[in-house]
Amino acid sequence: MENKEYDVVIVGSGIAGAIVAKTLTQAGKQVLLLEAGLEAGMAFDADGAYKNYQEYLRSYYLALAKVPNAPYPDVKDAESPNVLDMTQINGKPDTKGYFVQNGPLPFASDYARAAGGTTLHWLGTCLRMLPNDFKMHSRYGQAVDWPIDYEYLKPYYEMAEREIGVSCDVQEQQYPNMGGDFFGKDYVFPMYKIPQSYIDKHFIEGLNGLKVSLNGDVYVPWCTSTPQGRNSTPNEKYRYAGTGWNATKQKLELQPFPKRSEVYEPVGAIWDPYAGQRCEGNASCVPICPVQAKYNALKTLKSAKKEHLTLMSQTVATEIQIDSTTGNITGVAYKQYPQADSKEYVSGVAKGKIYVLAANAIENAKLLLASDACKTSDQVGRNLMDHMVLLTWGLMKEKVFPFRGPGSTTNIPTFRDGDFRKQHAAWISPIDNWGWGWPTGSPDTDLDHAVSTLNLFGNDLKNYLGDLLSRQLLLHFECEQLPEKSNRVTISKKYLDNIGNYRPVIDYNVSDYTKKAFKASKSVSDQIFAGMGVQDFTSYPSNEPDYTTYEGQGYVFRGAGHVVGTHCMGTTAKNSVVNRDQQAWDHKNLFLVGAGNMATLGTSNPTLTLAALSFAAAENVLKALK
Amino acid sequence: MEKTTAGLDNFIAISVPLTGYSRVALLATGMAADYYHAVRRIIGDDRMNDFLSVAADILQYTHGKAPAQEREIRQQLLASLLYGPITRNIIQLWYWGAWLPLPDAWIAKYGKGVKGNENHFISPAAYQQGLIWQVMGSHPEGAKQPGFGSWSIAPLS
Ligand SMILES: Cc1cc2nc3c(=O)[nH]c(=O)nc-3n(C[C@H](O)[C@H](O)[C@H](O)COP(=O)(O)OP(=O)(O)OC[C@H]3O[C@@H](n4cnc5c(N)ncnc54)[C@H](O)[C@@H]3O)c2cc1C
Ligand code: SF4
Repeated sequence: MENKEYDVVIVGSGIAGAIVAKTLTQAGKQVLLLEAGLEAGMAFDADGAYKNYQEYLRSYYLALAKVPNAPYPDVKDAESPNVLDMTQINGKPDTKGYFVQNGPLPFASDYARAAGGTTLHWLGTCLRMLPNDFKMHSRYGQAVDWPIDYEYLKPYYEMAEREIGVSCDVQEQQYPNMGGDFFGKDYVFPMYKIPQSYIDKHFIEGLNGLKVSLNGDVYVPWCTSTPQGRNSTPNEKYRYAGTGWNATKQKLELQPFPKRSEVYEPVGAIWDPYAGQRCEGNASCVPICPVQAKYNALKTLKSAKKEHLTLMSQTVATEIQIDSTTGNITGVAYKQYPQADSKEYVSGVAKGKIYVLAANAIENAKLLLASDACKTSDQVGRNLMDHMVLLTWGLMKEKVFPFRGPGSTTNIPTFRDGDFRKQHAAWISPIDNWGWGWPTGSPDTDLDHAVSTLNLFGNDLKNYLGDLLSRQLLLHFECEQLPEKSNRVTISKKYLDNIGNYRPVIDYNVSDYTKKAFKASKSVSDQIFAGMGVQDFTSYPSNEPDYTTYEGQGYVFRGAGHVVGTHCMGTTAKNSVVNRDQQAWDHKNLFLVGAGNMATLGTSNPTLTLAALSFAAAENVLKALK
Repeated sequence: MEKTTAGLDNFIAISVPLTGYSRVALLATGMAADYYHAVRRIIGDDRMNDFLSVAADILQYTHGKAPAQEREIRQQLLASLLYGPITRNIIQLWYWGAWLPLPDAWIAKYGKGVKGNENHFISPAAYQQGLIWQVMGSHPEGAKQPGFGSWSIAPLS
């Protein structure tokens, strides 16, 4: 392995790494992919993939807390963070889980270090960012502008929507300040929208015409169906077969179907293309879609050109090696463990012309810090962001039958953009389809309460649960967090993992800019609940890990799983880690991909944007290899 | 063998008023024997036999008549320091498929010989057969998927 030089070495087989691997191998480049987790090869082995996945499912069924990482093996040699490890931090670092949490508040999101990465347990919401999200400084005097804008990303968004297989009715998409040509004339998504839930229909009807006051302005909130990376009915008007490299034009482009009669075919499970061709309503997308109707990055990896791809699983990249005179990267040092959880490993160095780090924002930052790389700006590890999710919940007047269908199929986009961003964060409000599961642990906590505290049994129990569980409504207010220098990932020799690699050390807090949005969004929620006759059950107990106060009022926020920032893109080598091409300012043959590049967060879940950026990065790598 | 079958029958019979589901509905979960054996394994033969004989008496004396039966279940089972926690656990087993740890105070007083009292699902099937999903017109999350678009209309039942 050490003797061979590849065109490109990629670290990480999540969606970012898989998109780059697929694009480069299909363009004829030789790629080596290092994956820290188990069994990356399963993308190419139908039987193995099926068996592996059945094991994941079994673990999921047996898990008492069905948290995002519950189904997946937690390998000590490449640990994953777990939301169950997050507790209040009282003065000294919390070292219980994989993260070392310095606080003052714990970082509340996780990710999966396994083949396919975190898309194994993502929800699949695929919203584009809004034009103003790229111009936070010039429009609202907050944070920074990106070195690129919405128009730049637009063609790559289309590639990402093709790759993920996004289901959406384009004409229903109405966002604030989206401009006249947000999607382009005649644009359609590969598949029609995922049907909106029964809850959504009641909610939309209840919200109809309601006026909401916010900071002295009056808004009429509206709902829109949510674009999602899960399979639905193909849209016969969709015309693209896939993304390919045009060597003459030196460009990536969406290539039309060769024949007019061809239509888009939903991409099924990696073990059987006919499984999962439609979302079947398992209602367990987080943490696992049993039929893989939901996109995961193994699907992209599977469509890479196998002959050009060398996969090394159980291989943890530990350091990138730098030529001190040129600044160029000369290799990626790794540790390959033969067995999960063993303390043994074999060391090696992977060599290529170009290196791409795609290990996810926190792991990328860790690798750069461990290598003393990208030092000029002093920005590596800083500006860690996530959506801070304020939840509100109550009982609808009528039965709406939650705990069915994908996690969320409709959202309120009204507060995603507006002049209020000068004062406080914007937010998006998905309507949740899974009852109070997230904040209260329903339905089993309701059962226990009914049996142990309310002393119900028999028909009374049945009737009580039937009524309570059928009326549960949950709203999210996913508030934007701005990039801040002090929210950061660092490393320390004091905190190493099973095979001597660094664990992420995290400093994290919430600023007034976001807290003001908690206050504002809670007020919007109160008005909606009152207007619709929803009985409010929201509570923010002060013993929750991410409990915070603003103007004397307590709030609890939760992590959204959106791990962003840490190697931001910017205009100069002084203010950022990568340039607009996603190339490290300090190392010409190093590209960073993933949500770490994002300069600000906006109100979209980040994966569609990071996928679009990964196509752009792959194009830049191909140009650089010429 | 005889005894086991009689025990299982008693277990199912008392589970009917405890859960509010018919004997046929409980049998249809396919879980009755597994739950019965799980409870027996955890609390031990003696406690299980005692519990079942109290349950059998209640059923026999009240002839399954609602108000009397409910009073007897409350007074003799749910209010009992010994049988209350076991009864509540059996109800929750049927609804959720998982065993809940018996309280510390119970263990201190009655827990000699108790094995495997930790919180656990009896099996993957137990999770999938929980009655709680039917009660809310749904299906276990991650299993028995009802099909494309089913979530956009009210459940049929
Ligand atoms: C519960 C949850 C729900 C979510 N829902 C949504 C959603 O609805 N919409 C959305 O847009 N986003 C969502 N996200 C976020 C989304 O999952 C991530 O943004 C996305 O998966 C990140 O992709 P990535 O390829 O950058 O990183 P990852 O998917 O994390 O992949 C990184 C890969 O690198 C590997 N790796 C890590 N370290 C090393 C190393 N040292 N050496 C070698 N390999 C390494 C890992 O094993 C992994 O395979 C959600 C996240 C969570 C947790
Ligand atoms: S609802 Fe079910 S089938 Fe659909 S994506 Fe989620 S888990 Fe998969």
